Amino acid sequence: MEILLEVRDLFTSYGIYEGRLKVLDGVNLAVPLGEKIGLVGETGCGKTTTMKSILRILPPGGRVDSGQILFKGRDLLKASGGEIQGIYGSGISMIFQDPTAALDPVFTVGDQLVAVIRYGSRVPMSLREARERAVAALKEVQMPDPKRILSNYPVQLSGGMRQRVCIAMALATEPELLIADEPTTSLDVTIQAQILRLLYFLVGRRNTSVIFITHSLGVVREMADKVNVMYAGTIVECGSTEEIFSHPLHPYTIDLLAAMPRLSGGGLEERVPGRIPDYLNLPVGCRFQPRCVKAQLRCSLEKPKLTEVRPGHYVACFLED
Amino acid sequence: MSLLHKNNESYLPKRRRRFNFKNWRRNWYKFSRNPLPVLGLVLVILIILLAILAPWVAPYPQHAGKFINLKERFQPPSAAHWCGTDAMGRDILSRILFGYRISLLLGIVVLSISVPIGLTFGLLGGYYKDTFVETVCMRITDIFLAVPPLILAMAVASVLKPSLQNSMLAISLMWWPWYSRLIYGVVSGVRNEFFVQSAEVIGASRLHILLRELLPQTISPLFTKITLDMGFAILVGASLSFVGLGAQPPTPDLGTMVSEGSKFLPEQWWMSVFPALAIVLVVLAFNFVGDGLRDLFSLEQV
Amino acid sequence: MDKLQPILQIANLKKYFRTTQGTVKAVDGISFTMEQGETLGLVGESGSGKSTVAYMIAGIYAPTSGQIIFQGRDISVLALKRSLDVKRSIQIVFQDPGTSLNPRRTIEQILMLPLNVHRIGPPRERQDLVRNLLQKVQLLIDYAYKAPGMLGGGERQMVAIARALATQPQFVILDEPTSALDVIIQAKIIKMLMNFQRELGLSYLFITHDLSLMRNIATRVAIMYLGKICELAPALEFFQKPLHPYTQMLLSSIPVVSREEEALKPKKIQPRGEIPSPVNVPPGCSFHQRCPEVMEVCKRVDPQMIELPGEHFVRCHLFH
Repeated sequence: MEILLEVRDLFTSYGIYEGRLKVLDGVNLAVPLGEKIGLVGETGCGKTTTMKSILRILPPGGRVDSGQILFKGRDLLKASGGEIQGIYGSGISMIFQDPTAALDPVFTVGDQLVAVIRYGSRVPMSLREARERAVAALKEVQMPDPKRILSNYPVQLSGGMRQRVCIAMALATEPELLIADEPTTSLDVTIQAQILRLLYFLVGRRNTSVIFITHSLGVVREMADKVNVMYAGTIVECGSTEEIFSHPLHPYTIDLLAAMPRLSGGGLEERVPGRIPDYLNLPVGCRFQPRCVKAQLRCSLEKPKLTEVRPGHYVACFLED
Repeated sequence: MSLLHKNNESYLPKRRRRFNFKNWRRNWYKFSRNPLPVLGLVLVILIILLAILAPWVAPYPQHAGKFINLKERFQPPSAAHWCGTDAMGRDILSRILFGYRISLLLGIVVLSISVPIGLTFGLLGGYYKDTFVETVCMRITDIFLAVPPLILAMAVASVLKPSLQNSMLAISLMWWPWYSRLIYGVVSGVRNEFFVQSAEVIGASRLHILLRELLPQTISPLFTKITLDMGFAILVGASLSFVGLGAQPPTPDLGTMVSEGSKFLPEQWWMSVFPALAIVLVVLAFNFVGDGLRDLFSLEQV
Repeated sequence: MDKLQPILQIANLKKYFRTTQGTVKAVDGISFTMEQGETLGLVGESGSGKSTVAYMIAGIYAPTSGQIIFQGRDISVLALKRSLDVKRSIQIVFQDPGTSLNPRRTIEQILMLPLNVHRIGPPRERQDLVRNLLQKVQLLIDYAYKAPGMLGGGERQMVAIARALATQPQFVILDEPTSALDVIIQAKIIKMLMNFQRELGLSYLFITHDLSLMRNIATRVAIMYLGKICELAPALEFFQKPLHPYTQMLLSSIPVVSREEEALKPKKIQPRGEIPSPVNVPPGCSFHQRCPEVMEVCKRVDPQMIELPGEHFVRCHLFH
């Protein structure tokens, strides 16, 4: 099983007026070829920071302190600007959370799609051919009447249709890795279901690897083969979807699942009250320890590392020793 | 059991004064990241101090009023007269310092008149959006805005007797609609936010909503504009007195000084140039401070 | 006072907005009643009009036509025109914690407002009452001096809830109070809301798009589409026997986390089509373009609401 992207011991921080926010605390992530990996966590856990570190689009004040990000064996953090440019679009592509913000409102859909296709293609392409490809891309994302859509502005489309355009743009360059950051959070439920199904089908057909970032456990269960649960800048649990949902081991994962309201009745349990940690005053030792029901003395002194506890199921917790 | 049942057992801490100290430090940090606002602030403070203390700081305070010494007229800049003397033999530097008094006074008066008027119109127009009140407020604003500002000021100032007071009145008349527009923009944008609707649902009076909920939202653009406007109001005042519609001689007014001195260019250059530089200095200083305030009030995370 | 009188009666409520693109029929004929102490869940996607209904009850919008009867009194006017004790009895918690609290005021000032407006308690004691409110929503007392910007989303919503409860209302409208929040904070807030309901005998109009959440908190559920109610039933009935095709489409779309929940989702109806804009409401039954069970009559005639056994109301030609 070949690993397409591997993140090793990533430490990222942001500098603000009060000090330095040490957000990412040794993130370890692996995306095998052709697999869909879910990255789940609540707001502020660092999933967007991880993504921005991978793509080197951290805002001013943010920097990667240490670690490696290996894409097809090459460390992205050490690559030059030119090399990174070559990787974006054709190697790695992105879908953002808010399709309205991701599309430029003053250009037509066609302009933007054609631009992506032309600049992303490895061989020079004529305008006409790019337009034909754009129409084909829109057909693929099941847009009705693609030719007319090309001359529409984003504001004329509904939220779901805009997201389809973004998906078409992201996949038009045939990337090997797709990063989808909460692609359906801003959409209605019935539209969300359709978009997710479409995405699932498209990446399956192309055998694209996907990192699916979301805070919704239900969505990740439908979309991902493997799940990484993130808390306060570290991966606390990682394993196949089936395994994580049937045998959650880390106290945080268990808390998350207990808190979810269930269609069958139940859920909405709050085991330990707590907030996301204050990144200026982080506890020594396990970052989840202040909220952990089962914390022991050791947890406040040392940081647990991800260890394989069941086959293919990794947990960062001392309980499993 | 009522939600508001007083819990007699718990110890409730006494009222604490809000300490804003941490806030002041952080605000200063935002303000001073760029050196220019700091420079501007220093200059503004300096100019204000000089203006207040002019009778004691100026080398020849008596030159600021009626004074004629034809022996000393048209002196170029020298040790005795840093900025030279004018056609009446009066020390230009002293007159500049006293001129600052007039300019700053003009700025303060103009803003004290136009800001409240503009605020009222803008607040009412923005809150009562899509009603008759808005139409009245904003169309009146538009009428005043439609007349070219300087022309309006000149028209008013020439109908009334030319004097400092009348020029201040004239400038205020053409100044307030800009505040009305600014406030209207802010208020009408915020007017439908949830916290305003909360206040309505709770039953707050309209006065409360206008003054306590909406008005605080205007503080940052308002203060930024006020600071920038100090400089521009001074400039407009100088323009009016340049054409003779402002303060009358022998009152030392920077615009009048530039005007009188322009007749003697280019030989006695100092008579126009120094007063003009004085205007530039004060306008720039306020501009820099205004820029700094804009950075200060911005919501970006430092 | 008749104890069995419903606390809220809505009769044929409509709200049309006139815009440059046409008339937006946000709410197009809604009728329901609510009993004291119950939680009516209002479900719908964008364009359904659920928030507009809530805002009309709260008094933020005035209805275009129809009636809102609260505790026997007609309150179909803007909040500013209502009497003070009506305003005291109906409160609302908004969806976006970011803008429901004035960012330029402190928490204490925000919580003091309802106390001052309704003259609750002697003025000297109001500060203590504010602190009690904070304690009730499990926030530290020194939050009183903070600005909303310093609080997290969940904490802001707790302040918003405290503010809503400050006037000791009988009816609280909750417009997606936890949609912007993470799942663990949501659990805490929902638990808190349920406790308050029990303690204080509150009636809730709870709006959300999350059906799993609705399942756990609502006594009755109404589902809205493009300004009209499609189905209204007691919660258990609603989830076990969803009748309207749109209800089934919604239920089959929600992502769930366990196999037993999967089994509960209707299988035969899959989501399809886009939600039409409320400016262009399709003729006949507004759902017919997306409905897998569409019949000829659906394209021409708008169905009426009928009542089936079990207090189950549905508006669909399939049941005529």
